[in-house]
Amino acid sequence: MLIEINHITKCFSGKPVLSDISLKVDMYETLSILGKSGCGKSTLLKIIAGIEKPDEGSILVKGIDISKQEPHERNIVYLFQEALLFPNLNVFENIAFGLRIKKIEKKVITQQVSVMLERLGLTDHSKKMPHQISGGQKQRVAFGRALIINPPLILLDEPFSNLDTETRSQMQDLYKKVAIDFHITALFVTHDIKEALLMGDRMTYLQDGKLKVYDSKQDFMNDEITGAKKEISFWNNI
Amino acid sequence: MKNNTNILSLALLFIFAIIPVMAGLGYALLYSFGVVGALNQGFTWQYWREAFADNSICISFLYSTSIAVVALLLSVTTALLVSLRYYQPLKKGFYSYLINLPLAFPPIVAAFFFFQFLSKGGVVSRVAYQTSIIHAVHQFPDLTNDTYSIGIILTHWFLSFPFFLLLYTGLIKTQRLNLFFQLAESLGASKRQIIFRVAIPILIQKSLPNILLYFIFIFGAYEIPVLLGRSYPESVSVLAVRKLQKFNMLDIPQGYVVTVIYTVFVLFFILIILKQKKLAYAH
Amino acid sequence: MRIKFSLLFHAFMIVICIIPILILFALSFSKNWAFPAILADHFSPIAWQDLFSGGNDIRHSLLLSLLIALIVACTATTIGFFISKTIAYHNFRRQLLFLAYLPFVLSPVILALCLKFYFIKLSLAGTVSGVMIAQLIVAIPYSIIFFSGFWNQRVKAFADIVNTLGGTNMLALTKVLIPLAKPLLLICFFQCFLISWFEYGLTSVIGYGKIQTLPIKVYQFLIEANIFYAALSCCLLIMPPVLLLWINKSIFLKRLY
Repeated sequence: MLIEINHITKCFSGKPVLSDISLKVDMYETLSILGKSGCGKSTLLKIIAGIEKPDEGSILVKGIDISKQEPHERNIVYLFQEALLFPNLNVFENIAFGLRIKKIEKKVITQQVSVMLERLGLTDHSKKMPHQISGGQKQRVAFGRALIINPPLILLDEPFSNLDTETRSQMQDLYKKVAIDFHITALFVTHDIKEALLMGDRMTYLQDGKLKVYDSKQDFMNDEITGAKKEISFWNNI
Repeated sequence: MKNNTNILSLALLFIFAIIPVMAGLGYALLYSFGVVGALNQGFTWQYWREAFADNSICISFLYSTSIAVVALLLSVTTALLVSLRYYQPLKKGFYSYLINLPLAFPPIVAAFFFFQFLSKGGVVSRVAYQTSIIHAVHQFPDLTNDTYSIGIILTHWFLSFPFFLLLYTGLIKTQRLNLFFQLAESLGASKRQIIFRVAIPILIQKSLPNILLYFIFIFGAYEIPVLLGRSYPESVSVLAVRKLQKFNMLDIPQGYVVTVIYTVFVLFFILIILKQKKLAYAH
Repeated sequence: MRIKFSLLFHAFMIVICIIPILILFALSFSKNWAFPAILADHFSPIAWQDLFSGGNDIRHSLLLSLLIALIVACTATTIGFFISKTIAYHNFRRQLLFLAYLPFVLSPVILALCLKFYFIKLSLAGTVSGVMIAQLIVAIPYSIIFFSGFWNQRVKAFADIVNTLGGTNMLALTKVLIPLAKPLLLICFFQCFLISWFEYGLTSVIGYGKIQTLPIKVYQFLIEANIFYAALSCCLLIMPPVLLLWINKSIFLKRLY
């Protein structure tokens, strides 16, 4: 067991956004969280990253309680909908950012970043500034920036929702490959049922601040509330 | 650490912005009620009663309001017309630089310039004489320190017109008003209708917070009315300074009555502006 | 008809933008400007020479104004940047912003008259530091309002990313937030500089007329009916903003390529 989230509760000005959320993620597993916009998905991820404080509950990583730690001590990386590349740094420096702040030797940084650039197919763009590359490339740089510090857990907050359909499916393929290559453990939040099924090894569904965890993908498909059945019958009846 | 910096910034906010205003207003209030000051005899309504009995304060407020309204009407109208008619040359090139130049004038310099420009012995009067439009100095009309405050209004217009012109050319660009114009045209609107039914309402609505803010600035202006105005009627700031800075000790409490009324007036105005701002951004 | 309108427009622009500066410069070089001559009898650079040789006290005012404006602009930009950040993410954001608006919009001379008592009690009246503090009471709120638009959710997300990548708040500030805000910091600095450079009301009341910045000097020359020196001081007053407008605009163009 890598990460264990116990009884997380969060209210915003009296309104419960998350109530009593518990879940477990295994090593090298991607857990999908499906939910409509405004259901509290982002808040849950922000609490795990330490950007928001929960009202109640604890977060354990490898059995250690990290609830009281500051975000920069947790080593958990959060990826936003928007790539949010630092506009003052080029592609290379954006990826190198996490290593530079750890004051790692220059030679090592150059070597590691070069490897990362190659694996993400970005070698030709290393000197470009963020505004000079496409949306898909930006999101790849954001991936590289996160992966290079080797975080035990990555939180993905609808990372592909701003991309066009084609780029989006390319990125989904890339993520699957990278997840295996880099032994990624991740929480993948999305409002797209296909993406949830495609990306996740296991499925959960978040609605009105309550999280439902499914034992198998089949259970998830069989549950009416996830909308999987509707989707299937649509494609069957067309 | 985060908490400490937050506390420090809030402390600085109070020290440099909130406490001075509150303390200043408090002092003015206490003085106006005779509680503090060289002449204090304990709490009294006397100065407030006197202030309202003497209508010079009322006249000052009305005078400042009308100056601000007239100056703004002039500058907003001219800026709207020029920006809509001459949007292309103003957008880039020489004029886009040129129009910034009046913004480099502090009020005191603008007032000095207009005095040299419009007074009886000023540049315009000399040109009129040389071109035989007038034949003696006294024939030139009073344009500074005059009954109708023409000099004051023109100076305020000179400072605010470029500001609104830049604002409107900027708005036309960023709000992509051209698209609205095309839309209106495709719906069958004439050029005239586009300007009066579409362009001007949108621009006025977007710039309303700025217009109101500028109103407060002109309303409280000091340097321009003191140099180009008459001794009667006086603008609010000039009246306050005269009552508080000159030698008649008996005038001081009344001076503070003026400042209290002025501050409360401005306070309400900002509330309105912030509300308008919220509305303007909501659209 | 169309051509006539355009001509009118060009004439209008030139009259309001260029003529004032030309007249001020001409006056600063003039001697004996008797009615009805449009130009002075003769021109001499004597006022300007005096300025450079220190023959009049305008040079002192110029340097004093520069010193005060630079310190006020640096301080107000820095402090305003941090205060606006705290306000932007504060629960009472709207209320605090409203309070910050007040000193900025109140007539400086009236604000100064209300504060004079405290400045006297604190022995700050008539001192350079007193004038600087008084100007900060206007410049800091300006800076706060100026930056309040900068701190949005996107900027917060940038800081959060630095945090989750292992950077401290300090690092987020120096490596990301300040570089992001750099063009705004520069503009705010210019604007605060101008607020101080143009300031008359607070300076005259709190400075007691002893702290003679350039605007105070202009007023004094006007009272003395010394229009040539007044014009010289006016030219000095408008020079930095004219220069800044050129620099600022070119920076702006560069950012847009």
